[in-house]
Amino acid sequence: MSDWQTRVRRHLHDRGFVLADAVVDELASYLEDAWDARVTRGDDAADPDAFAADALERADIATLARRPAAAPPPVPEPGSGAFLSGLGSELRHCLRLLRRSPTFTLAVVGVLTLGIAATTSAFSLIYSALLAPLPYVDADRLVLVWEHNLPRQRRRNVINTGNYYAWSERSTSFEATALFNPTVGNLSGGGIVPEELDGMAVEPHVLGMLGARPVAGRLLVASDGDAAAPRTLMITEGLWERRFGRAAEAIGRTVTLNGEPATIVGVLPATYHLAGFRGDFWRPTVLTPEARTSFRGRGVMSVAKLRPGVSPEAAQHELAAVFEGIVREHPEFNLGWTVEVVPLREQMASETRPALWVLFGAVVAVLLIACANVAALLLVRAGARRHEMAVKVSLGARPAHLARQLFLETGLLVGAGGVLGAILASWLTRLISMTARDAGVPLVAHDQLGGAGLLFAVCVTTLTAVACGLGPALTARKASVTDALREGGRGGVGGRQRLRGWLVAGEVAAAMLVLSGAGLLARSYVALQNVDPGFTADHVLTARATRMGRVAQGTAVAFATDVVARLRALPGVTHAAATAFLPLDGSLGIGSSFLLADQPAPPVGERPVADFRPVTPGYFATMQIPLRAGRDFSDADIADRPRVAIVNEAFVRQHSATRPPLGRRLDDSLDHSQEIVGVVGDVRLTSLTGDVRPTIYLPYAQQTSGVLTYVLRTSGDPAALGLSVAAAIREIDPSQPVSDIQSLDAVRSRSMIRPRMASAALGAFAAAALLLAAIGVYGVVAYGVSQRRAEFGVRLALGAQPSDVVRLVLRQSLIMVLGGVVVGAALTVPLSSTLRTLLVGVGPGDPMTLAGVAALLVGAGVLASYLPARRGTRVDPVSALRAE
Amino acid sequence: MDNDISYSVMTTPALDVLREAKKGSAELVILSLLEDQARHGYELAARIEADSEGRLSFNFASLYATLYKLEGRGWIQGRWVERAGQRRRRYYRLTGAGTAVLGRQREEWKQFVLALGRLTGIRFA
Repeated sequence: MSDWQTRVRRHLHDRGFVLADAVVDELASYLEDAWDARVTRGDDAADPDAFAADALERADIATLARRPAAAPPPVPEPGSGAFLSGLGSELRHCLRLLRRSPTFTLAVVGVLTLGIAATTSAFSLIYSALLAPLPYVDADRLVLVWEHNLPRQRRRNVINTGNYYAWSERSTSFEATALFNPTVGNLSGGGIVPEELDGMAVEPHVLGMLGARPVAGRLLVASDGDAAAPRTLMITEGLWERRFGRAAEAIGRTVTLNGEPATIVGVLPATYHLAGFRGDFWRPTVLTPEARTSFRGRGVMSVAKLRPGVSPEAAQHELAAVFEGIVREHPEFNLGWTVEVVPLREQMASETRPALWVLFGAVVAVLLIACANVAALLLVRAGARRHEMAVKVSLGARPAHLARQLFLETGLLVGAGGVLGAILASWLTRLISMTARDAGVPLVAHDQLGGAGLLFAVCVTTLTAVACGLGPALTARKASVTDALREGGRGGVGGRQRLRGWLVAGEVAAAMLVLSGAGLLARSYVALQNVDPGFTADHVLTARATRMGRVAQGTAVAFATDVVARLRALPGVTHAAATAFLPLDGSLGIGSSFLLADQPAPPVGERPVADFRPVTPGYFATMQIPLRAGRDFSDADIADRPRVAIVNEAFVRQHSATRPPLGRRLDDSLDHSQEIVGVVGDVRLTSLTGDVRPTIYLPYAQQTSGVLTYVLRTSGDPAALGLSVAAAIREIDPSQPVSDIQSLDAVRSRSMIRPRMASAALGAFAAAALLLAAIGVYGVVAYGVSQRRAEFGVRLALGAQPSDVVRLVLRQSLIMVLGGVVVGAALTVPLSSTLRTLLVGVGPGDPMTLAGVAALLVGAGVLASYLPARRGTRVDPVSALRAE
Repeated sequence: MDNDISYSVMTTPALDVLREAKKGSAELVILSLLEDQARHGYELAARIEADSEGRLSFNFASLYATLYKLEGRGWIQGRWVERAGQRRRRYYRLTGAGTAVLGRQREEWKQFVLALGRLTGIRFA
């Protein structure tokens, strides 16, 4: 047998054809002549194998079927070596086919890559945020215990130490309990630049209870918490590296923490956290016996480990009963309060969970659109090859063989999409987690695409392969020779085109869902940006300088007064002041109950609560918070003068609506009594959303606190003053660290980081959904037009105008798109209510948003249909008819 | 059956006329090329493409399908020939029946083209 005969036979076998030997010889002879001619002409000499494959691929071998086949093709038995070699040649055949239609191949692989990458990266984010194992031993038995005051709308409030020790001794649900508290500390000493660090103050046995492992040195142990023991601390790997170059000598070294010497005993892993709270240092909480029985103020958190077999619900039930007893013992402090036991994992995910599930929904929609697109593309291809399939079946090719070939082809496409998708996903995941970390969102614990993400990608890919391969494979099995041949080359236009129409309508509906969600979040984000925080953020610089340790009240006030005076003297500064809690910086500040002295005291537990904010004179002018009545604090409002307070308008509305507030007296929970001397505008203190709460401002000189943030209004760019501010403060005390020097605009903007990221992420998926749906519309319309070229040719020949043809095509695709839009809108209205917690200033099912999204989709649909429709008008009637 | 060319332009949809016409024309072209000498498949394909300046071309599978059909009707006859210094090739030549059919088809096409010219105003060179 000549090489050419071998080539022809191999190809025929791959495609499931059997021809008479004489015909094979003749085809081989022809190809050899054609090849020789090509070589003689000096055309670029591809290899003869590729040349033969290409020519045979394009040849309508089925037309040679009238030469009867001598015998059915030998189909190798599965499991034999022949089967494998058959598989190899089939694979080669599939690859050749795919290479021959690069547009189809690229479209399918591209769509799959996009869909799988989006799904996988979103899944790895969701996995690491909601499902990944926590870095604790017996993590599923860990709970946080909060105090809870529903009448005061204080859910999951920080707790009181006296209550904590009382219930932890009486409750039988827990194996161990511990107090902890995020804190800040000034680290200095040993000739290093003083630095303010985030840290954790913990009951020292908590690290052992969580099963922490030190990177170096040892963990804190219970004896580190003795009041008489020398002070110790642990640092995290990051600080160890940054400040000590990972030197082993750092362990055992004494540093100054908040003005007191403390010895570093060990190093914790860089990412170590307790319920999401991280710190550069972990120091033991040292509590005096009095503090353990203090029923005043709530300011700590507690983590507890359930006994084996005790469910969080059972612990909640038992602890609530225990707490009722404590309330009876200390009613004046505890009336109205109860406890809430929250599993650690639920606590950690509670903030990001709604956004992540919305994201996941969007991703699933995008993947469905991608799958529908691929299915439509494969159906188009299967339709186009139906004739070929039918002829092969009539020539003795087994339907199972053909189905396998189709599966193989689909598998190759999906495999390529899966691999590329996984690569793109790992890149996307890294990008997103880096962005999130830079933005300060603790969204991602795992930087890389973990095993879970990959597993998910593989599952999705396989499912897609089966789903997409099934349609064409079933068609092949059912291929009826007479039907297919009767239809000529058109391959079942009617029913299949309808099915594709449904697929596209479904894609449009899914895209409508995702786009509406993105539209609602975007509108909500815009609304959020337009929320008036109650102060003017631009041209304000802020800087925090915290006096730590035991500082006398007079010293702290003198220091603050000195700093403010120096800051005011800086060139370009028009106003300067200080506040204990900067609005919108993430701190919750102090909330406490109070009484109006001229009213009968309400029963314990029903006392009103307000936010308390110590500020220095000039704070309201600096922040441009309007003074509505009375006066600002003055330099005369100091410790030994009559105590005064300024309240906000929300306070007046709720507590002094019927009587002028000025001159009324307030008693706070520390038994101080102050006179209201002014009323200022409402300020959003903790978040741009939600109600403004009654707020009581106190002069810093009469109510000092360790933490103080300085605010400066500048005439020019506030950022330019950062260094002068730090220098001015250090001039007064060289050991004073200055941290978080930033503009108030930046603080405000950071408070919107979650909505911004949610909006951006959903926006990206919406763009993908829109693109994929438009590709889907384009694909189906383009195919429909190509199938109707002859019809359009006749119409044009009979006098139809090109615009008539365009209108015809557009009308049909619009029915498809509008159907999808209507179904999508009907689904969006109920489903978008899941977004409710993420929305500000816009309701779920907002008609404006829905109308805008519908218009966008219809516009994209018209554009995607117009391009192929125009091509329909360029049909040359003669050539179209010749193609028949 | 296959070579019956329908002239019922008034009643048959335009598509069918041309489809049939195209099929018929392929046969006419092949028969004409075999009139003066026997040729093998590649030679036929190359001549058609060259003489029509690329306007007509056959997919080689269709070419052989048509050749086998004509052979089946007894209008042409194929034979494996090994000429000196050349590979073995299958040459086709016109049979007597084929020569008669060619004459008849030429006349029918002439009439058809004339009628088409009168109806459409297309001038044939």
